[in-house]
Amino acid sequence: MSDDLDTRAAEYVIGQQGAAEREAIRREMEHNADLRMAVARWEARLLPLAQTTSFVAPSPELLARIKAGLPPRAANDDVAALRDAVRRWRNIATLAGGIAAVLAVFVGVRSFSDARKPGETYVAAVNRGGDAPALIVRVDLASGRVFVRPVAAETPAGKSLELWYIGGQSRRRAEIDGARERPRHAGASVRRQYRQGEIRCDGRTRRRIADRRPDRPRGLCRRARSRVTATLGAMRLCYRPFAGKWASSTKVSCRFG
Amino acid sequence: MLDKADIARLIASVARGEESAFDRLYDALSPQLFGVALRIVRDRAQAEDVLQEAFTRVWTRAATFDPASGDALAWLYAIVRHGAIDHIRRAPPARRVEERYDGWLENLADPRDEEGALMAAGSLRHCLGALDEVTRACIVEAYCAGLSGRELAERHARPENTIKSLLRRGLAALKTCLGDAP
Repeated sequence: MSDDLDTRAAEYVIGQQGAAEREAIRREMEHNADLRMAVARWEARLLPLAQTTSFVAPSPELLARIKAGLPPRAANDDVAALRDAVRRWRNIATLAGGIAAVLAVFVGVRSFSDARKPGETYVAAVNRGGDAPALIVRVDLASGRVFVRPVAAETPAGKSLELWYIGGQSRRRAEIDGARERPRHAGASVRRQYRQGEIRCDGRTRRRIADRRPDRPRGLCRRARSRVTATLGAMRLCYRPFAGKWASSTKVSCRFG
Repeated sequence: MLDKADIARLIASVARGEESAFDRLYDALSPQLFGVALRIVRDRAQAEDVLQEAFTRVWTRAATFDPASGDALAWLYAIVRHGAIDHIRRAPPARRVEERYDGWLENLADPRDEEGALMAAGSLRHCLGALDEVTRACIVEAYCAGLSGRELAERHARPENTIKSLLRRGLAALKTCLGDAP
C-alpha cells in the first residue's frame, strides 16, 4: 500500500480534506479496495478515541422520526439482489443510437412497512447494455419521490451521462456529472432545466436553501437521495454525450419543484 | 450491552429488512452515537439531524457492510462521525477555537470496555502519548471535534501548512507505533 494512499485515508478519517476531496475519496472507495481497507484500518485504529464521548440520549421521538423518513426497503443498496432482477429484464432494454437511449424497466416491489403510506414503489434499472445496471432509479408513487443511484455505469471517453425524466407536460433533464475539473459541480449533480427555472444541486443552491431554513437543513439538494416532487408520467432514462466524467458511485440527488 | 459480533449480526438483519434489528441497534447505540455527533456539531437539533441521516444510511447501506473487512462498531461510528463532519463543513458552527477539550485522552481505556477494546484503547493511549503535545492535540481535536486545518492553525497559533505537516508526521508515527493490527 502506498504511503500516499494511506496518508489520504488517514486525513480523510480525521476530516482534514475539503468537501470536494472528501466526496472524491468516497467515490474512489467504491472501487478502490486498497483505499477502502486503508480507511477502515484508520477508523479502527482511532475508534477508541471516538468512544471517549459521553453518552447522550437523543429526543425520545427521534426514532419515530427516523423510521418515518426511511426509504422503502427497495432503497436497500443491495445491488446484487437488484442485479438479479435486472438480468431478467435486461433483454427488453432498448439501445438506440451510438450513445444509446435506454429504457427504464419497472419491477414492482413491496413497500417498506404497512404503517407507511400505501402506494406502489417501482425500481427502474437502467442499463447501457453491460452486465450490471448503470443506474437504479426507484420511484415511490405515493410520495412522488424518485431516488437515483448510479451503480456501475461506465461512460464512453469524452462523454457524460444524463438522466431524462419525461413526466406529463414537462421534460426534465438531470445531468449526472462527476467531473472533477469543474469544482462547482464536483461530485454528482442534477440539474433541472428547460424554461422552468433552473435549480442546480451544487454548493450554491445548497447554501441558499440552507439559509432559508437554517434550522432544518433537510430536503435540500443533497447527494444521498433524490427527490422529484412531480407528477410521474412516463419516464425515460437516456445516455447522451456530454463532456465530463462519470461519477461512478455517487448517489445523485436533487429536489425538484 | 451489545458486543461487536452482536452488532454485526444486527447489521446483517437490517440488511434483510428486519425493522426489529434496526430498533435494537438504535436503542443500544443511539446514546453513544448521538454523543459522537453532538461533540462535533455541538447543537442538539443539528446533531439529531446528523443521527437521523446516519441511521437512514445504516438502513440503506447495511448490505454493503462486510464483517470481513471491518469492525461493525467502527463502521457505525464512521457513518455518524463523517456525517457530522460533512455537516459542519457545509454549515460551520461558530467555534471557539480557544475552547478547552479536556478529558478525552484520560477517558481512553474506560474500564467498562470489553477486554479487546481495552487493549486497543491502551495501545492508542500509549502511542498518542508518545507524540509531542501539539501534534497529539491536533489529531485528537480533528478526530473528536471535527476541527479543520484552519481551525487547528488558529487554535495552536501555527500556519496551516505546519499543522498539515504535523498531522502527517503524527499519523505516520501513530501507525508505526500501533503496528499493523487494527
